[in-house]
Amino acid sequence: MKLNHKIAEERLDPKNAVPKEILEQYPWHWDPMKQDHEDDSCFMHNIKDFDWKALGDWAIKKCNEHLTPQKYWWYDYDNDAVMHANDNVNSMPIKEQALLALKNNTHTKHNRQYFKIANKEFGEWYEPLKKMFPNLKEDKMGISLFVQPPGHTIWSHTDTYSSFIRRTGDSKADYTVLRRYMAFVRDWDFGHFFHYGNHCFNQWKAGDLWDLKPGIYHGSANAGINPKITIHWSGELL
Amino acid sequence: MFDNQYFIKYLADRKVDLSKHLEISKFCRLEIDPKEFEDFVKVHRQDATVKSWHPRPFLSDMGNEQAINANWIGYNEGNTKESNWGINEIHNTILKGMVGNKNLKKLGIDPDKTLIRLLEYLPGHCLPLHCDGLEGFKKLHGEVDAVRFFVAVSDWDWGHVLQVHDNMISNWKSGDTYVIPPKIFHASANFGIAPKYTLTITGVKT
Repeated sequence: MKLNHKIAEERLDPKNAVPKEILEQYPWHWDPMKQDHEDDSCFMHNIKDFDWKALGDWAIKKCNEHLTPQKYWWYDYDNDAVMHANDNVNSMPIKEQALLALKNNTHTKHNRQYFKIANKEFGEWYEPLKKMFPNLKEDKMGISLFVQPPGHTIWSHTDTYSSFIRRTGDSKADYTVLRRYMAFVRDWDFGHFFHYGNHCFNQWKAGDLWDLKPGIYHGSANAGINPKITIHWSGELL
Repeated sequence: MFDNQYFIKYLADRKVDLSKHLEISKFCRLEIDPKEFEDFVKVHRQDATVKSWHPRPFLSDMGNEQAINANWIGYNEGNTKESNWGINEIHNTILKGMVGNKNLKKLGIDPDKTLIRLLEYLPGHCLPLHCDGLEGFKKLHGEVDAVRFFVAVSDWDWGHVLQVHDNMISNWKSGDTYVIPPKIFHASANFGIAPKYTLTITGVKT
């Protein structure tokens, strides 16, 4: 089989694609072989007083209404553009990391899809979900739930808050005040993978909450048979 | 999209229960040179067996049922492409030479009844949940009791993972070796940015 591109002879170092201000503000070890790390220290607690099963069931029902993952990443070779669904994100800080995964690499729209439910689309779930994080400014906060179908990945990356910036209309992100939290909506299942730095998650529980501190490389995949569901709160700290 | 009832039934019929822990620990570390295998890939790229998940006439009924169930829930050539080397007798001989008799002895298997396959998973591709049919090995050596090993070729990189039942296997060093027990469901993925190279070594115990 002939590939459409050459495989890099030398190891690609993702650190080089991360915005300089993130590297400066949030230094991290950037060594996949480091064993004495504290990458799992970002676990906060399990949120028990919330009906995660009902939220998960509702989300799946909502996806099944249209069956079309709204989000996927791809590289438009004709126009030299990093694409997030139909949006050209060349001007966004995620661009360089996306290029590593998409351009002359094999992450494509065929393996990088997910359903997304965000903000007011949550309907009656929106207010209780917002109230969970009183430390985030109400007018500078976004909530999104991802349903990752079997066979799809979220390539390893550090968060650049590109979607958040696009939504708020800010010209540039101030990473000193931005924060993202993530909770698993369903218990861990076969084929569900998530690495946060050098920590590979296993047997998580619905409601497990992680503080996704900026600057730590992470990604996920679903090689199982059930959808993997996560929910994220992103925003400016008060 | 989420019509996974057939795969769920398939697992239930085989009494696959994730809530029951299965102990999997590292078997040993082989002494191999990752660069030698990566160079082999460069030289033999055109001769690779390239496959993705779909039913094939030479698979067992079990293998085909798993492939159909996987296709039904969204696995296809866009997310399960694998290049492998080793079924070809010449490649298998070269790979055996690269692994070496000292390492095969460490595994306790008969070099003459051993099949080595070098697998390449490029970023974005995964090996969906399945259990092994050992069809390739059985074609060469018949219905014999064989043991299947997973061997990491390169040092671990972000996004390279293997799950065996309820065990997450990651953060490996080159040569780290695990046994994949028969009838045990496992899956792997590459959601990083670099290719993932591993070996499957299947052999008859000496």
